[in-house]
Amino acid sequence: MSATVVAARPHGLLRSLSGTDHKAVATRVIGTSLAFFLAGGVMALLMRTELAAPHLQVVSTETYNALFTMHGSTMIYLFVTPFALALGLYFVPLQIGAADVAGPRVALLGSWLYTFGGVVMYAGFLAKTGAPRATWVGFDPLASAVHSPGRGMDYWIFGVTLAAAGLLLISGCLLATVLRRRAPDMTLLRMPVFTWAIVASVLMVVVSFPVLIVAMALLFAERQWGDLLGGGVTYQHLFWFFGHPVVYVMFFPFIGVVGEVLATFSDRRFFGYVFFVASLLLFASLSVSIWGHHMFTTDAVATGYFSLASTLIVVPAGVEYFDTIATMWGGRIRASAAFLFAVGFLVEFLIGGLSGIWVASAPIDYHANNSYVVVAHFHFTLVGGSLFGIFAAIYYWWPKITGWMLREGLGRLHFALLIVGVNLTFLPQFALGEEGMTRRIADYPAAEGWATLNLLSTIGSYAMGAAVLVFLLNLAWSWAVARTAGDDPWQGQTLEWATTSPPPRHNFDRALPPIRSHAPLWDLRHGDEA
Amino acid sequence: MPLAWGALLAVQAAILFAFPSGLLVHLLNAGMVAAMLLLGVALLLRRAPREAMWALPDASVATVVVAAGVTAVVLGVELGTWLVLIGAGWTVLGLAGVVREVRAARGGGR
Repeated sequence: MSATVVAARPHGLLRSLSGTDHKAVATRVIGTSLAFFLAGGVMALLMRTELAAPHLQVVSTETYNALFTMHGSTMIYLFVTPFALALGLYFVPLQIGAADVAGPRVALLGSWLYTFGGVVMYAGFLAKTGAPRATWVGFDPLASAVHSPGRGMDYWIFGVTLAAAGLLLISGCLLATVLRRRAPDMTLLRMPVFTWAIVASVLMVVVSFPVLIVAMALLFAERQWGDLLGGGVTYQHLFWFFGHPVVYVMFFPFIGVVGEVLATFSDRRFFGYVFFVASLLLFASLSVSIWGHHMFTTDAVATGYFSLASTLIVVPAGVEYFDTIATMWGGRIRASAAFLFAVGFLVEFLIGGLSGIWVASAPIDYHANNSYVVVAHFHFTLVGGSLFGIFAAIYYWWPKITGWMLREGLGRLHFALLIVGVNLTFLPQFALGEEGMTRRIADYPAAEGWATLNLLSTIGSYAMGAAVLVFLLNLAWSWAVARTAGDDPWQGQTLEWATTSPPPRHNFDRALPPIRSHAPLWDLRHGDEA
Repeated sequence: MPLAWGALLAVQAAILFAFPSGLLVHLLNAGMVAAMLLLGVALLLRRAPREAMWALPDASVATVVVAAGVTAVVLGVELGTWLVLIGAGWTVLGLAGVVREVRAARGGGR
């Protein structure tokens, strides 16, 4: 596939901000999402500082409520989801041998709607009534004009709507790219595992994000004109129809990254490719059908169906775990920073996933709902899972994006601090939830005996903060004393490693290698063994 | 592929009928299935030949203007009609710019 670039007139900063190269758009979204990650992380540290001991009053109750609302909103709407889709926007065209994404202007529009949406959401901090305090879900009637008066809540609604619309547009481009822009020999079953993971993710986005936009519109209308939704349960159905698939949109791309990284650093082809692809599509179909498990305690859903379907998730998840572990089996392991983060992903997400089976059971969920058990569960999946996957992707693909290497030693220190920090932060929270500590509370009585576990959790969060500082140091140091990466520093297996680092405007300035499987470069290197 | 995935969703939606569920749950499932099946059928019907060569826009200021315009319209719902009008104006200008870019690309790239 080839393309001709139509020369544009803008120069300098204007050109940087309006460039349609999918790599430039993706890099900008990744950079923006990482900035939001830092902001959300600071909020988390403030919350953990407040909870380190009873009656500390580092922040007021109202401020604490705003912090957990904006922390959750930032991490889900403005960091992990955009980062995951932007990673796809950068690498899917490369992996399928395309010159660019389909609909580059649409992707550019999506990127700016997401960015503006984030800014609008944060404008709530400047509103007279302050940032919203109705949680990242915007529960109705907590988010109504009666219980959440003022513009802060309205800015949150607008921000979520704009960001969701932007990400929906980017996802549409990705789906169109995969269906219409593959290189001639790149059949669907020769696409890399990461590309398939992105396909499964964007299918979920396309189905669920429009419903979120409708929910936000109805919530805003209700704030202006009174009860339109007919009660909180209706809002929850609409919201969780998006809210459950989005957690898999935040996970799938990173299981794809982990598959690529483990295969590369084991010097083995990915094991069980076809079963993995099938499990991704089955996993995605289940994930858009099980939103009711967030509503067991409303007594307004078919608990039997949603509990059964939620538990069935273990089947495709198990296939994916088996495939990734089997990929490493008998391989020549190189324990790079990217590899360590990929293994960390498998371990940490497993904890989150197993606890998910637990709360998928309605009777257990009746006790665990709204407690720190749920907080620990989703943080292990999102932090332990997605965050480790994000760092695996960064250490793996940074050389391709920038043309220079990150320091491996600092990367290993980053990993060590993060794995200690994540486990120290969130393992005590299972126990806290078991002992009855409710989520979303700014303080707790000393008599409950929760202080020690909370202090441990807070110390863990500081270790996570230190890990992020080491990562930032790694970025700065590696940029200041840059070491050239070359085209393929890792002996990669997929097409992005067959071009320069960074890739040229139209991705490939030389003929593509023969495409006979999902690992064309591995086939080229290993010849008869393939 | 969307058709196959839509069929999988349809099976799951059908299983839900064996359990007591509200209308909204069935509507959400049905909407999702319909969307996927429609997309699949549309792709089947529109089997356009893959272009060997197509024009890539290098930059599109007009698209950024559209994004800013849409954001201003949304904010204007809260802040006042004046902002809605400004945003609408930017959006129209931006869309006109995009149309101009597309026409220029079709003239220069093929």
